[in-house]
Parts: sequence; C-alpha cells; structure tokens
Amino acid sequence: MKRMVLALLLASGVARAERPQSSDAAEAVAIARACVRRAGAQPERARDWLARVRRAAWWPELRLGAERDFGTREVIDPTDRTRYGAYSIDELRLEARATWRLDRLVFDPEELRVSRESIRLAELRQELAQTAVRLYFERRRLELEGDFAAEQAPRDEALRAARIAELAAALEALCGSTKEARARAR
Amino acid sequence: MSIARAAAMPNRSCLTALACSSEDRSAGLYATIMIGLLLGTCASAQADAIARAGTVLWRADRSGLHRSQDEGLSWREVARVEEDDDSEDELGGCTAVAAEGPRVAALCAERLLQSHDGGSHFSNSPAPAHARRLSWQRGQLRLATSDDGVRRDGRWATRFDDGGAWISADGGASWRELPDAAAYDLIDVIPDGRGGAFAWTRVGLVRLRPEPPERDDGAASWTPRLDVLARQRWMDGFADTAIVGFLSFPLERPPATETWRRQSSMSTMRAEMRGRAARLRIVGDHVRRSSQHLSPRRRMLKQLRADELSAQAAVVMEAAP
Repeated sequence: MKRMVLALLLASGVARAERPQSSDAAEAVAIARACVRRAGAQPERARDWLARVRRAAWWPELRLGAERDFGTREVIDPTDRTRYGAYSIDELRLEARATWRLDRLVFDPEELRVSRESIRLAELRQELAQTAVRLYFERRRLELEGDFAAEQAPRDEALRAARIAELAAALEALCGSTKEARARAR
Repeated sequence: MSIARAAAMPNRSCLTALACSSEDRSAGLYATIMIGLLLGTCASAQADAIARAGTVLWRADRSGLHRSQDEGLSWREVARVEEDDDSEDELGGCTAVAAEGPRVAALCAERLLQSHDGGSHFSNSPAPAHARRLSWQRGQLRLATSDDGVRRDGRWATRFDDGGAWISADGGASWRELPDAAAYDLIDVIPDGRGGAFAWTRVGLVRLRPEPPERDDGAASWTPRLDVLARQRWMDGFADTAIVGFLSFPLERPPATETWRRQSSMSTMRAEMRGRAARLRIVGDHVRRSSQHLSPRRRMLKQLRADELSAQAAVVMEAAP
C-alpha cells in the first residue's frame, strides 16, 4: 500500500523553489527559446513592428514653412504714372501643415515589408531553434551511450568526452548560458 | 521516492521505465544506470492539471502543487507529496486542481486541499472516493468522477482530446479550433481569459490562440486623407491667421492584391509550419510507442529520439510567424 506524506509548504512557512523535474524535451525547448531571445528573433519583435506601423498612422506628416519679404513698395497711378508714395515691407509668414493619412490606419503599404521581414525572421527562428534542439540531443545521446558502454577504450572515451564538450560549447555560444533555460524548464 | 507511477495522461516514458527496471534487475550495472536515468525521464514535467485564477497559475503534478505568478515562467512549490510505496500501479501526487478568485482546491495524495486566501493557508481533509476532477462554480466546489476534457472559466471554455483543442467564448455553445495544439502532446488545456488558452504539454506551458479572422484591408483605399493647414501672417503691425482643413477622397479603389498576397503568404507559412510540427509530433509518438519492446539501451535512445521530435515539433510551431 502506498504511503504518502503531504507537506503543505506555505502553511508551514517553508515554501521553496521546487526540485529539478525537467524532461529532455522541456529543457531542449527552453534552451531553444533562449537561443531565439538571444538572437533577437522572437515573434514579439515582428508583432511589435506591425503595431508600430499601425501606430505611426496616428502621427501626421508635418510640414513647417516660414517666409519673410523685405523690400519697398511704391503706389503709382497707372494712367499718368503719378507716384503717390512709397513704403517699406517687412512681412513674415509662418505656415504649419499637418496631414493625416487615415487610410494608413486600416492598411499601410509598409505592412508588406514588415510581413516579408517577419517571414524571414520566422525562418531564422526555426533554423536557430532546430539547431539548438539538435545540438542538445546529440549531446544527450553521447552522454547516454557513454553511460551504457561497458568498457570503452581510453581513446574512445576521450573522443566522446571531447565531442560532448564541443557540443556544449556550441550550444552555449549559440544560446548563452543554459542554466537559466534549464531552471525555466523545471 | 519511487519511480512507480502512471500519469493520468500518456506518460509512456514512465511506464517504460517500470518495465525495464523490473526486467533487467539482474543485469547489475545496466539496471542501476537505467533506474538512475529513468528517474530523470520519468519525473519529467507531466502535470495532471493546471488552473488559473486571475494572473496566478496552479499546477498539480506527481510531486505536489505548484504556483506561478509569471504565466508559467517559474513555479514555486506550495504542497509537496512525498511517496514511499511498495506498489507500482497507483496514481500518486496531486491529480487535480481548481481555482476561482482566491479559492483554490487540489486533490493530493487522497486528500482534498482547500484554500480561501489564494493559497496562503490550506485546509486538509480526506478526499471523497473516486474524485477525479475539481471545479469551482460561484464559490461552490464541485467534484467529478470523470474528466470530459472541458474546462470552464466564466464565459470561456476549452475542450481538448487526442484530436486537438478548441475554445468557446460563449460557455460552450460554439467552438473555435486552437490549431497550434496539433504540435503538442496535450496534458491539460485551460482558458487564459483573453481569448486563448494555456496548455500544459510534454514540453511545458505553452499559449494557444485561435486563428485570427481575415481582415478585408481592401476597403482601406476608400478612407480619406485629412490635411490641416494653419497659416499666420504678420505685416506692418497687422496679423492674420487662417486654419484650413481638407479632406481628399480617392476616386478609384485600387485592387487589394498586395494585401491578399501578404495575408496568404503569412497564413500559408503558418499552415506549413503547423503541418510540419504535427508530423514531427506524430512521428515522435510512434517512436515512443515502438520503443517498448526493445533492449534497455535501444529503448532509452528511442525515448530520447521521441523527446527530440517532440521538442522539434514545439520549436517549429513556436517559430511560426
């Protein structure tokens, strides 16, 4: 008969981080996610681009202009060319023009470029994540085979250990420290 | 702690572990290694149930009850079940959890845990016999003896089985598919309260969302352009100001081919990746199943390959645009 001990950690005030319980699949996925984050290729980035394109439509296109005229103006009768007077001109004109392209709130042609980029980003993300998963499992397979091998020649053992170290280094170079990712998988 | 346990949902690596540890007990070193290795695999993240109350997620699994306040990025153990057994066929740990506001209930080690303060304090009583599922309905705790795979959260409801997962925004009257579920081995799926779902899977917690409805962006070309002009003039002590607004409408509606192309390329790529992920998952399941009658070494390698395929399926799905 199974006996179970149930410990309520919060009630007894001893809540703590849980014991390691990650599976290989969960750990590999967590490492792949870390890789994608490190490369800045996460899907949120493409969504953010698209949102920025849409938000940009609320901002008008602004044109500012200033014009200043200096000079002298004369008043002349056109019939007999009599000159009535002359005065100087100092005229300042300021102009501000704001244009809202409301159609861009619904669809901005820039979205096409963003979607092309997000497709490229998705391809990069897929390649990166799959590489990370492949490296992770190649290393795990070597570790497992080493555990199962009864008596290995020292040379074979050294080569296996070197390959494991190589794979771990490649994974770390690609994804950064895997410790945090492993902790997240737990 | 024993490795003997069969999870409620398929946890074939655990079942396999039992088979090989008993078969090869006489094989000395191999069996020892196997048990050591399998403890890692068997204790993999195979929760029986998850529940949500506001921003807090709860997870019940073989080791106990856990709480997350960051949408599953990290978990803290709230109740721990330590197993000390001689039998190998009994369900253990925490098998069900339900949450509603500050109320939480869980079935753990044949005990019913209840909290009314968000999990700060739990009461502990014997669990009713054959209780399998828990749910809160307007402050009342309901127990069920079977699991229909439907989880309700206000007007939201989710449903899942081997064929996929669905979400309803009207309490179950109509359902929309969560297509990305095809990439995962689902263990539990609950509404996230924002139109999607949290799914506990072989690779951990993932978010599932229904396909967004297609927008008719072609109508955009009818939308006008607004120009506002402000002009100020100073001359010889005089000043005048003018503010003028223009609305210009396009007379011709251009074809929306580019818009459609954008939509179709994104959705095609997503569908392709989803199909690829589903195939990887199915092959992974097949590899996992086919490993059961192999030698311990080959079985472990096959299990690892199955895990790799599950992980590949998950990352392909997560990479989709």
